[in-house]
Amino acid sequence: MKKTDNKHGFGARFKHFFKHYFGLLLLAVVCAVVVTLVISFCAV
Amino acid sequence: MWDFLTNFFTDWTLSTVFARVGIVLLFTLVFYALFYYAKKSNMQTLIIFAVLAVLFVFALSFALPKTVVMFLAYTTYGIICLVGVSLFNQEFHRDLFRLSLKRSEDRDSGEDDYGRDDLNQSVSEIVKACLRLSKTDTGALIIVADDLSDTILESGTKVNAEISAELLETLFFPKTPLHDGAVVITDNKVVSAGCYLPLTQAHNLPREFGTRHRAAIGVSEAFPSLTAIVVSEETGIISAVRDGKIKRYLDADQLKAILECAMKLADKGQEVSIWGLLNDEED
Repeated sequence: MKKTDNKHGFGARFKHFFKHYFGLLLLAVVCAVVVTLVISFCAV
Repeated sequence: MWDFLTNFFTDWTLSTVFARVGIVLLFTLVFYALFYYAKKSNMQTLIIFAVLAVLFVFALSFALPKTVVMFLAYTTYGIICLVGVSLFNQEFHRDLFRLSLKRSEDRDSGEDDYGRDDLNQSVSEIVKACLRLSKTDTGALIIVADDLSDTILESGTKVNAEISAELLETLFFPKTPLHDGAVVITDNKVVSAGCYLPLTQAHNLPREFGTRHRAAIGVSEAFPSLTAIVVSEETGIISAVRDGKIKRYLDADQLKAILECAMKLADKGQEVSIWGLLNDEED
């Protein structure tokens, strides 16, 4: 029996990520920027 | 805050930019992990709450004194982190475990130790056994895996025998010591029988799923590349589980196709047509 190889092509994975999770990533970046701004403001 | 923002976006010294990019990346990682697990657990409201809380603190920072903003900010971000860690620590552990498993699998280069004929013969034997067990309403749980944790293998009894329908039927024959556990098939052999498996913690499963189905789903969540075949003791229904996904009411042909995927006899297209894109519930 061959050892496990359940990976899909990079293209398919990227397409899947873009379809389902890119929005989440953008939202996370926006939140991170806002949090960084607030923390920097508090630290000054 | 306005003055601060003006200064913030006009200060482009290299060290400041690096520090800010670093902090943004770190928080992106934290928020993405939180949102990712919230989405996977169907807790989208948590994402909305987190985003609103972050924006709310940001908006207040324009109006309130700095000390109040500091208190609000640290409390809010602390609560978000605590909620994330306490709600999703199991999922996080599981994914870390999967990642380490994948790495160790990648290290072992793929090699074909058996001919296709041997594997096809094994598939036929397993199908034959499952159909007979289904007809007699005998419960069975068969795990087809490339690799499995030693803890699971050692919880059962070592068999190390060639796969045959008769052997499988004997192992699941009621009132025998090994029937109440899982049979593990690895490297085209029945390696262990009577193994105990982790049960899934999912609470949205149908009521008719007993311990056997829960164990199959549980072990497939921990080891997404394995395939578990379950024969229900109550109904004789044959099901297959992979990566937390379950296919029920299988006939001989469907079971054969699933086992061919599990034994790496099928191509990737067939695997995707049966299970969809693995490691993802949304597809």
